[in-house]
Amino acid sequence: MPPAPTSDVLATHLSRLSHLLHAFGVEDGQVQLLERPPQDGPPARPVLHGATLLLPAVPSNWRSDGGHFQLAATLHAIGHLLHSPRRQPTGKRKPMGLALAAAIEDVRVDRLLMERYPGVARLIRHLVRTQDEPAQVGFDARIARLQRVLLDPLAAADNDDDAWVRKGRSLFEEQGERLDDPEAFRPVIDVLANDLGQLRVRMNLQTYAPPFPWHDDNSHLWAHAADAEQADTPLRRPPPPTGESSAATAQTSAPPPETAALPEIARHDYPEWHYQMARMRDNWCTVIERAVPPPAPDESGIRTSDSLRLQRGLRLDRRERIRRQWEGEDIDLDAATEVFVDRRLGLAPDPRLFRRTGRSPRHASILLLLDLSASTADCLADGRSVLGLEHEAAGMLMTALRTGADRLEVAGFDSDGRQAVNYLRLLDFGQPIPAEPAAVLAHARSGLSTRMGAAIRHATARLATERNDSRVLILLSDGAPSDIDVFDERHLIEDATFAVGEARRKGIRCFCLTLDRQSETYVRRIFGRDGYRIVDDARRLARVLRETCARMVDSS
Amino acid sequence: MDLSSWRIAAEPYYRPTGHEIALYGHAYAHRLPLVLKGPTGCGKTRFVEYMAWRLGRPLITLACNEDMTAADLVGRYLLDADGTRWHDGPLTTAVRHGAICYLDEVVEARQDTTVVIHPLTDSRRILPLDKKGEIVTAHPDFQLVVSYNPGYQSHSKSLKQSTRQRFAALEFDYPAAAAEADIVAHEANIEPTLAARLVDIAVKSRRLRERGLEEGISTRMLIYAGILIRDGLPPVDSCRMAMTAPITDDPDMQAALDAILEATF
Repeated sequence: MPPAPTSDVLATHLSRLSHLLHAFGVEDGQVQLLERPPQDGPPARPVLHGATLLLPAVPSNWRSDGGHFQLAATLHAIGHLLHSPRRQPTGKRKPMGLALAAAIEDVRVDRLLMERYPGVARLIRHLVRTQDEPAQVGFDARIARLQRVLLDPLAAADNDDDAWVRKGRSLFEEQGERLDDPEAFRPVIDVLANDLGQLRVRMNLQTYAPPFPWHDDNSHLWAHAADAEQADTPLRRPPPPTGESSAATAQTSAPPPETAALPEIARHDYPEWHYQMARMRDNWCTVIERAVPPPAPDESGIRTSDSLRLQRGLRLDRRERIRRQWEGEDIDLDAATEVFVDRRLGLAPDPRLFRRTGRSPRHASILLLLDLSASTADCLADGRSVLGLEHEAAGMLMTALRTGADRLEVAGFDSDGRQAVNYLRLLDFGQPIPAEPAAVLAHARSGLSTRMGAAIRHATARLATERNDSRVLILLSDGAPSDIDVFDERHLIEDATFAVGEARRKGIRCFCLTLDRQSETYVRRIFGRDGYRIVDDARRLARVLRETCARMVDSS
Repeated sequence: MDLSSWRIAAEPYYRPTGHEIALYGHAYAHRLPLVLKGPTGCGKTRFVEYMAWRLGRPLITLACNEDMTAADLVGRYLLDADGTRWHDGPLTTAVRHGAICYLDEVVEARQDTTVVIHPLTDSRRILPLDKKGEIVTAHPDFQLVVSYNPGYQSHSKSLKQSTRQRFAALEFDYPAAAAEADIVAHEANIEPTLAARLVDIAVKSRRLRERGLEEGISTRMLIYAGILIRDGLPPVDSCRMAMTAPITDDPDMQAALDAILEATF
């Protein structure tokens, strides 16, 4: 199993657990942290919300490796997502009946996985054995003991002395061949629920939680009328009440002015593609270029460490021909002449008589376009705002490109209707990269809307004047294009798609990095199948951006 | 010139996944140039070897790379005691003597290199040797086959339209699970149930292509892992060594793949 994490490093393992969900065939599967579970009430259990698994911290009485808890919870969730019916009507079942049905369902999916994956069987048996012995009486204890004998017959005394547990076990095992059919277990549940009623067993609704901590709360199994509406609402939190998200990355004490208040440099008109009319509307959008105050002069002399530098390939450059080589494309005429002279003189000729093309690094112009729309103030699962992560990634790229011959422009955009698409020039091509990128980036603040097409067209125009071999436009975004004066959702998506197509025809490589899995459909539409990447783990955005940059530059 | 060393002596193992053998046969009958598209390690090279054997043609294979120049394909002048002497490159050899020339991973070659194949891939079927001042007309048996990997999210170079439109294409992908298990069981000489487990891991890894893994685990890697397991190495160690460790450097991806291994065995 993966290296043992402790509960406090749970966050760093979310991404690999998300990968695991995906690998097992749960599309859009994600694992996130379950923060602030209720203080009183039953112990926290994982929660499945749509295809998202919310994991609580490792329980304090957990005796095995913390990584095992997360792994088992993830595998169990995979079992549910692949094999459990979801949101079934509760019918006339009472809470105890539902809890029993859920407990049987938990065992059924675990057993299914255990049957198919011997490693899972080993893990679950190991975990069952490290759990506290269940108490002797009560509903919770009976459920725990039943699950125990079903998941690991050897751990619990094989002859559990409770008649109900023994009966439950034999009824379950009778259906052992039909594990992949949830219906087969319905009669088992009915008989066992009935028996519990006759035994006058009581269930404490306030304290009951599935006995094994890696089993989720099973809320996804039932369709309660009350939560029908919120079943698949996206898990994203509203921005914090104050503007702290952007201020967090700003190193200046006074907040910088709003984008629209920054000095205007120039206005440019661009067309917009109208998909319903299938034509361009000329001079439809106005892009307003705005400047940020220049950063303090760089006197720090900070050198970029090698680890930060953009890892770049080399490519052949026809301009550079290396002479006197052991092998190569052509004969080096001067060397060949000497060979013949040497031969006539009876000397040993120098066999290095070829010439070949030399290598030199390619240079690139990279334009990083940051989406500054209001939605970038939203917080992601780890509590940081999208904008904060954009700042961090842009800062890291600026640091990485401080040395070297690549040219970088960093710009942000937002829009307030077609007449006012703000294009904030944070760093221009050719301008020295400041030692403290954060000071410049602090001017990029969240607000307004996302008229992506116009911004892409302006970025394309900026890149079109660059003379480097490869020209790359990278957009960091978090949401669908939208604007206050557009009511057809598709319009701006189609326009942006058109703008990307135009840029690509001009030889500019376009790529989009997005933090939002829910944006996949339209990002794919705009940037094409190979033109985007969804960064599930927000903390890795900066690294992914750097890798993307290097790869885009090298492959163009 | 004797091309016997390029002939394939024994029948290579190839398990068809569709009617690609018949399609290739028709393409060869008309000497249509072919491009084989598909992910790495899915059997493109093996297929060409099999077809060369089946058609009884010598096969000259060239793995392309970005240092490869046109001279590496068509040939160059070398010096000897009497002065310069022309030396045919592998492509010219195939063109003159009627072999199948297979350019593996053709997009890796620079675009100014790939254009030398253009006159060979239209009705002219000629190879001009500029430096020598000769035009070689292709032998009637000559066929050009190239392969490349369109690659998910690879952003890598792709073929120019002017090159692309000269070829008929056969698309390859990893075989369906049962067929892939057959192949792995046969090639690694392992039990079908073990082969099926290996294939299941590969199928899971291929889903991760959507999450940043550049390529999923290939059939070839499964065969390597199978061989190691057959040798007595524990399955998890074998799979880590042959499958999950080589495929990625990303620690999270690695951990996820390792978790799949641990769950499987």
